[in-house]
This record gives sequence, C-alpha cells and structure tokens, in this order.
Amino acid sequence: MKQTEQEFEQIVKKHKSTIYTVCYMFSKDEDEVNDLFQEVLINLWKGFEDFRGDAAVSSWIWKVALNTCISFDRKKKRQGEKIPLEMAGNLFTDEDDDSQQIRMLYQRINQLNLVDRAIVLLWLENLSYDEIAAIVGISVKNVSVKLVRIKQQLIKMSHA
Amino acid sequence: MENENTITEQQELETLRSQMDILRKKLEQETIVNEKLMRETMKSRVSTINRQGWISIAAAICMVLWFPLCFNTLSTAFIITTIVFMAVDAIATWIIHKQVDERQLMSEDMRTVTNKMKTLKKRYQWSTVIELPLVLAWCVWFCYEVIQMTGEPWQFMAGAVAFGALIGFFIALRMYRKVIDNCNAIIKQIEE
Repeated sequence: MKQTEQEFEQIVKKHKSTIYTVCYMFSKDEDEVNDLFQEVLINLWKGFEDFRGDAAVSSWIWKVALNTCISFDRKKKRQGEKIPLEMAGNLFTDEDDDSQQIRMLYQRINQLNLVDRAIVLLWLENLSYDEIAAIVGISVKNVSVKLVRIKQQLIKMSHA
Repeated sequence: MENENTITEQQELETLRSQMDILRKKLEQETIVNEKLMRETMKSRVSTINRQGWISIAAAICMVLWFPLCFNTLSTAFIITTIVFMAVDAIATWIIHKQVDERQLMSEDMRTVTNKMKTLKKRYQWSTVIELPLVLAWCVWFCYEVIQMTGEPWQFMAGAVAFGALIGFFIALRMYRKVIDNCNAIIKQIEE
C-alpha cells in the first residue's frame, strides 16, 4: 500500500469513533449510519491530498463528517458497493444498559435542528469554544449564545 | 431554590456527558473500519469538477468538433458562431464548477460551505437566464440555415428542430433543477 493510503488508513482508524458518533447522531437507522459513514470516508479521501498537515486532524475530521452528514441526500441511491461496518452491536436495537443510555442521548440530540446538533456534539466532545467556532464558522460569542439556548432546550426535553 | 435548579441543570448536562463517554468507550471497542471498506473508499476518483460539470463540458467539446464536419455546407458565420457559443459554454461550466471544488468543499467550516453553495446556485441561475434566449435564437437560426441548404419546407424543419430543442430543454432543466435542489437542501439545513 502506498504511504498516502497507509497514512489515511491510520487517521481513519484513530478517529473512527468521532466519525461514527457524528453519523449515528445524524441518521435514523443502521443502514443510514452505514451510508453516511462510507460517504464521510469518501469525502475525507477526496480532501486528504490537499489537507495534509494544514490544521489539526481532529478539526478537519469534524468538519468533513458534519458537512457530509448535514448535506447528505437521503433520497439519492448510493453509487458504488455498500459495505457494512464491522460492528458487534447495533446501537439502535441492543437492549443492554450502555446501549439504552446511548439511545437516551441519541433521542435528545436528534430532536435538535442540524446545526444545533453539530454544536452540542462538539461541546459534548470537550472541544473549546474557539475550536467549535472554527468548525462551524461562527464567532466564539455566537457559540456561547447558541450553547446556552441548546442546553436550555435539552433540559426542557428531559423534563417533558 | 434557584441554586437547586442550577444544580439540577448541571446534573442533567453531566448526564449527557457521561452518556457520551459511554458511547465513546463502546465505539473504541468496535473495529468499525475493515480492509474492504478502506479499499472501496480509496477507489473513489478525486475530481475538481463533479460528474454533471464533466457531462456539460464533454457535450460542448463534441459539438465543437462534430458540428463543422457534419454541417460544413452551412454558412461560415453560423458555424463559427456555434463553435464560439459551445466553447464559451464549456469554459463557463468549468468556471462555475471549479468554484466549488468538491475536494475542498467538505473540509471547510459549515458557514463557508453554505456561502459556496449560495454562490454556485446564483451562478447557475444567471447562466440559465443568459443561455436560454441564446439557445432559442440559435435554434431559429439553425432552422433557417438548414432550410436554405436543403430547400425542405420550413414546417418540417421547424418541427424537427423544435422536437430536438424540446428534448434538450428537458434534459437541461433536469440537470439544472438537480443542482439547484441540492444547493437549496444544504443551504436550508445550515441556515435553519
């Protein structure tokens, strides 16, 4: 395998959890997660040659994953072979305690609009306000204001 | 009372964080990415222009090369105008699509993606407004040229060209709508 391909594979495997988390939070079932995940990988590969070393890898991964999931045309038929992800479990259907906790999180976040969903995911992953602002493309102050509103919304949901 | 509310809210938010931690730990234990997936991903072609852009450019180039050979009995002015028209169309298509380099697009921040989509949409709309009357004028001129050449009754030629133009119109409209709808979907979701 060429060096570029090896580097790309290493980066993807290192950040697989981030990519999967984004795809999971923006989809409605296992099939859609698979489609989104594959689409994110393709967009990462397409941008990899131009990206190399420009900025933090994690920020780049977040941007591509979020942009892909938000702009993904769910009505369009996937071109190319559909390859299932190698997962032991199914976060949509498993009944163990951990999966139920994850589904509670999913159900709350899934009710937010797409941009708010992106912002709260970034916050939950402990990114700084500066990093969130850079990924979303808004000011730090705007991030702060939006997060206050999003948190209020999430708390209201838990009381409903 | 207010303090109690604040503490409860903090606990709620901490619950979300801990649920996120559970998700992260669960995913770390999964393989997720297999060799087949990586191979399939790396087969993707990297292009500065999307498929639609390439189809438009290819069609224009074919016309530029084919038209003078097949219709060399038409007037020189008409042939030259057609070649220039198609060449300009190919260049314009290339410029419009180059602005939204798909290699770079998804790597930008979300706001920049929206702005680029808006720009693409505006350019597409403008190019359609400019091209449509020019295409109609070209069809009329083509009818005239062919009638002059063959001596066929004008009704027959007008009908043949109108039929061809109608098919071309619907194909172009479909391509146009696809680009605009795609742009609108992205813009709408980010601007919500």
